[in-house]
Amino acid sequence: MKFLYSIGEYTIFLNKVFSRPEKWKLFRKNVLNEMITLGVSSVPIVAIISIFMGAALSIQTAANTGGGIIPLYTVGFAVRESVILEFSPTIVALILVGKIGSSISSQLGTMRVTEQIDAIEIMGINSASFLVQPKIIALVLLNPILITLSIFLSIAGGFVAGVGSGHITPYDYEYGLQYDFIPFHYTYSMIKSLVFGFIITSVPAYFGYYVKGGSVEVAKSSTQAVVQSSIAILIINYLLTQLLLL
Amino acid sequence: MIEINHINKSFGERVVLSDISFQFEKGKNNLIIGASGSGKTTITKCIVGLQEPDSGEVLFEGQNFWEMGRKEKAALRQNIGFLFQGGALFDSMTVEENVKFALRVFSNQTEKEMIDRVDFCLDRVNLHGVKSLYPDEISGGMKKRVGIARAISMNPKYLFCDEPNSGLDPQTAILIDQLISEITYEYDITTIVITHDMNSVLEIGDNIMFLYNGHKWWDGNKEAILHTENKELVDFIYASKFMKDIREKTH
Repeated sequence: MKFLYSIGEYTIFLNKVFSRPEKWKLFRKNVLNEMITLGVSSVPIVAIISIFMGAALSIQTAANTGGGIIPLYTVGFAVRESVILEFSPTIVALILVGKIGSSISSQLGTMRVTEQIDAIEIMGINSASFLVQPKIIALVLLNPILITLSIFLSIAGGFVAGVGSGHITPYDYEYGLQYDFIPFHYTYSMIKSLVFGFIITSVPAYFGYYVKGGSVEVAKSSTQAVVQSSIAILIINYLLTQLLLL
Repeated sequence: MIEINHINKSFGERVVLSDISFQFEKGKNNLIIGASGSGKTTITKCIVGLQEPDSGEVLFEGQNFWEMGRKEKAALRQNIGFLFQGGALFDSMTVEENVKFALRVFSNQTEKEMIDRVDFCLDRVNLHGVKSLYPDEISGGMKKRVGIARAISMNPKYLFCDEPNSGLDPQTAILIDQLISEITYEYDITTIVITHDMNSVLEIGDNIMFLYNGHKWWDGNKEAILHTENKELVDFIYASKFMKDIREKTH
């Protein structure tokens, strides 16, 4: 019952968020600021995770294909497919939930308990739209770019680890990367990154916006926001895969 | 002028406001007083639209707030200034950005015009040299002043102050009271102050409503309150021995 109530409240919240901004000039400026705060500042963590994720994938695949029956180019192929289909869009989304989601939830929660959101409402401004819409738009626009960057860096990390450790030749890796490439897999990855960008911002914003109480409740809502967003990402990941790949 | 008629509000089984009617007059300091939990904050939230009453009317110049459309409510709220108890300043913004906030959203002023207005508002509340500071870098009294400056930045018709003196030393508290009073008379606005500070009541109380257990128990002005025989109000005002002595002397 509580779950259904939350779904209803989340829907009402989104309806409030996606209303016309008070002033387009200010809205554009806020979106740009959020792009820097949420997107650009996430590049280092995305880069580090992607490079090491690709490197580990490359060595793990090489270690399991070392018998001579499976061709060596399988390493490049497996890294490419794993990274594009699952690792970059989903794992990076889960990492971003921890970084961005908790930050959004605690920021809005603190604004709620210190009456800053009430102050915005009393001025005649739709606080949900003013505070949350720029965040959602910014990450939905930037997440595909972050994921594309992650894909490239993972593949590069796999190359450096695989070739550098002597498990595979550059030629085999490159051949594997190009082998049986299906462009739709990249499109599928981008669709997921758009949807995940929406979840990473909107679900934590919902939890933060409706906080009641003090600092303990803000902390609880932040934890809850990360947990619920992660679950939502995993479930939607499964549903999108079922819908788009089969 | 703001008029409330037969306001009722409950949270579950708990009745917080019961059939409250009152007129908050223009150009006067209208005070809502009462003990903690008497419904002061709830009635204020009902007036400014942060909480919907279960029944009753909130009339701004004759127009019922709760029957207005979204755009009308938004337009009305641009005429409301609100000083929160804790200040509610935006902690990620400087003092200047806080005061400029509503101007930036609603006005078409140039950057220079906005800065001039910010300077005027800060000057009006006697604050100088703090524009570039963040809220956590200024004192409690300064925060209240910035809150007032932000509240008057859009030339409001209505000014709400939620316990403006809480957490302040007696001297600063009196200065804040005087500032609110000056602004009320100077700009002829309808000011509503929620307080349980008796100094404020006796200093600026032009039109006072006393709430007791969610009911309007008494109304009058600062002269009348000194001579009231209403038992609950007397108990509230003269709670301390010091105040009781004053009452005995004045009688």
